Amino acid sequence: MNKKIKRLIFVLTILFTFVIAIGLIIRALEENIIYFYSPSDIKEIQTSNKLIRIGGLVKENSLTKADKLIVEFVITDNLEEIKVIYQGILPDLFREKQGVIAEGSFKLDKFIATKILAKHDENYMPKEVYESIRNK
Amino acid sequence: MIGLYGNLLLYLATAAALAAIIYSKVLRIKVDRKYKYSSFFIVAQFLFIFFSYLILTYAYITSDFSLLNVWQNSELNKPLIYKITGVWGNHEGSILLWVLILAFYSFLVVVIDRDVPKKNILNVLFVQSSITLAFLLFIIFTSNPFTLQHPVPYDGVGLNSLLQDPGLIIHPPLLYMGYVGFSVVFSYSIAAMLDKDLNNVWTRWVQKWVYLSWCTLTLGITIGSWWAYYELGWGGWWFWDPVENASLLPWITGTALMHSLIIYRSIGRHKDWTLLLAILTFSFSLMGTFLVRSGILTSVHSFASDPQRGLWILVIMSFFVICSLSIFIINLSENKEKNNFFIFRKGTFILFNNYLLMLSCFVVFFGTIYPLLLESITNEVITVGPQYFNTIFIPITFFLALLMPIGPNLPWKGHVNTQAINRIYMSAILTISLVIILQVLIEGQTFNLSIFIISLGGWIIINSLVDLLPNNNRREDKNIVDLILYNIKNINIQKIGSRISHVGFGVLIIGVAAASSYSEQKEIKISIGEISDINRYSLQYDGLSSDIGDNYDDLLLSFTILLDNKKIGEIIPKKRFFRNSGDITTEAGIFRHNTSHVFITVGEVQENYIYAMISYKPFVRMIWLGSFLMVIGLVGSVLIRIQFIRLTHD
Repeated sequence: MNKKIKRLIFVLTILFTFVIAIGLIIRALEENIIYFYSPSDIKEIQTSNKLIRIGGLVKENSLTKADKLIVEFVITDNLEEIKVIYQGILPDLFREKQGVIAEGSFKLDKFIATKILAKHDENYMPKEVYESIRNK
Repeated sequence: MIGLYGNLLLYLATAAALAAIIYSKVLRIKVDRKYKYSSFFIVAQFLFIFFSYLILTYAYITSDFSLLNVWQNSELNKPLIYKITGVWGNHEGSILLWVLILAFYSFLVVVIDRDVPKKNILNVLFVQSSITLAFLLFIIFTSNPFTLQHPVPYDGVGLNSLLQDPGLIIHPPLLYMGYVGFSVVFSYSIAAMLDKDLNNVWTRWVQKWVYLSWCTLTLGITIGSWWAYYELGWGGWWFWDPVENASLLPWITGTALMHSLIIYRSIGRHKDWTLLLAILTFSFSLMGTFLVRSGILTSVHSFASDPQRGLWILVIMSFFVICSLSIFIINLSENKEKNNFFIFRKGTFILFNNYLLMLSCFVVFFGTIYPLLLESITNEVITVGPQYFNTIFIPITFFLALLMPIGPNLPWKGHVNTQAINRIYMSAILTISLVIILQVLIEGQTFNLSIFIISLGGWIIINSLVDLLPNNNRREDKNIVDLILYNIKNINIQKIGSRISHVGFGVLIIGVAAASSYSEQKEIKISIGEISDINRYSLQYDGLSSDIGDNYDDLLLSFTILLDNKKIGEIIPKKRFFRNSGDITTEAGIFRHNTSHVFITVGEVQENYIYAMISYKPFVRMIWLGSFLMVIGLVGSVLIRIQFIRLTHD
């Protein structure tokens, strides 16, 4: 009898921690989802202060460099455009007229990127970017 | 001509795989003849695939651009080593390598496992050949590396520039050795269920395959992480990228399997659970292959995004997963195991380990698959931020690390001996003093979570080492030196291997926690002669020079590194310009100092100044050191056990 109760307590503890763990996992996931938008989507969606990703092409002749490692460029999906401000070093594969994803958030109507992801080689474009351009 | 030979060999290999399937299971002939023929076909199948692989390598070395695959992924001026290893730097070649390793493992089973009864081994060969057949058909129908083209171009397109790196030479083969090695464990499990006779001997057959696969997988992942660190990652060693996660899943279940096998081997319990883990581990290997090869993920690993290929692998994966799980459910053992349940038992603690590992496996699986599911259902594109994984892994690691050193001290049955308890107390006291000292020395008043994790690492290391002391170390010895010498001489050799592996895990989590919270980095614009400080180090930019490689030109940016105004070395990060493709890659400059790195990556380069990211990463080397220790410990424990068996036989 005693052993059975011990066993029951053990199994219940395991189940209990499991339920808590699942709850925490789902909560953590909800808090850390980063949505992806194309410049056209942005016009419709209010996303101030939330961490998001914007993907598209770097518009030709839009890259300007100020000092102190601040760069500005425009992401376009050939319909709408978003101006992006980024402080830091751009990846090697960042080129104008090619695919890019900027991760960051809107602060007072400006998109401040904290991370810039460029594609991995010249035949390849981030899938999200490809689809956001193709669908327009 | 070369394409013809290559194709012919692939067809022959397919035929051999089919023959091996028929002879090992379908035909009703005597077991000895079955075994004779099917092992013959296994050897033949391996040789055919091996030669077709050699032919492809030969085409790469001689730059035979009549093969579409060679033209797409190679070029005349590439260094020879990258012509040879470039074979697996693309989809078709890497799948061929996958199958080559699979066939090699089947071959090894025939050669090594001769002491396994023929009846059992036939089922293993049957499952193994079925997997080989499926992947050979996949190659022939969707990913044939021997497709010809006409007219033959003069020069090739070239390898993805990011892949031209020493990492390409060892990372993929090791990783595949791990992934595919679990197929043998999978085949043995299916075989055991088909045979319906599963006893403790079975663990002796599979254990070596689990160890081999686990070691190579660990090395493969570790080297991949190191490669990303200096080439892609700008100093990050793990990104929770779906492709990385795909390799972590079989690693986690493989680790769980390795531990549950110990229970099964020692007291013959949790047989079903062990079998399920074996099935899961190979299923995750297949899933990893599917995720990476199908092109549904964006990554440096996804060479091609042909939806048809993805579908094929999905079909193959589903087939093997569904079949194996069905066989598992049908054969769930009916006789209930006797359950005498006690918490402070080695077996129970291994179950805790399995529970925590499966939880972390679920976390990774869920975080990796959720965006894919959401996208296919709602078309919404999302990314799961790394913070998700970090938040959950901290508590899981906490419990894992807390329980890890206690388990091995506990008995399989009977009472916990007082010495073990004393040792746990002793380690606990040592660890708590360590926490206090660290807290006072490093942080002062403020509390930092990483101190906690670092101390847990310390707890594992201290406990594992204390555990190595000989059982009878209370000699009435007045001389303290003699006492220490006695303890060292009589160290518990049989435990050394597994404790070193545990120490490795401790070192690993210390490295992760310390490097994550004490790293410093900044992005700078620096002119020639200027000095920038990071932590205690000063970096002086000395100017640029250039160098010419086979198919690239290097721009070398020289830095002098000073500590207390004394020169301690040079760091030379590079920008590499590939002539053929026009790609630019960044080769980080790394200065190693004790367990730390001073790390420089260069952004834009101008004549008089450059933009660079400099960082100081304390304890970062412990991350890779820890992983290597885990492997060394496992290899050591196997060698020691072999030695013991030999001694007892003499």
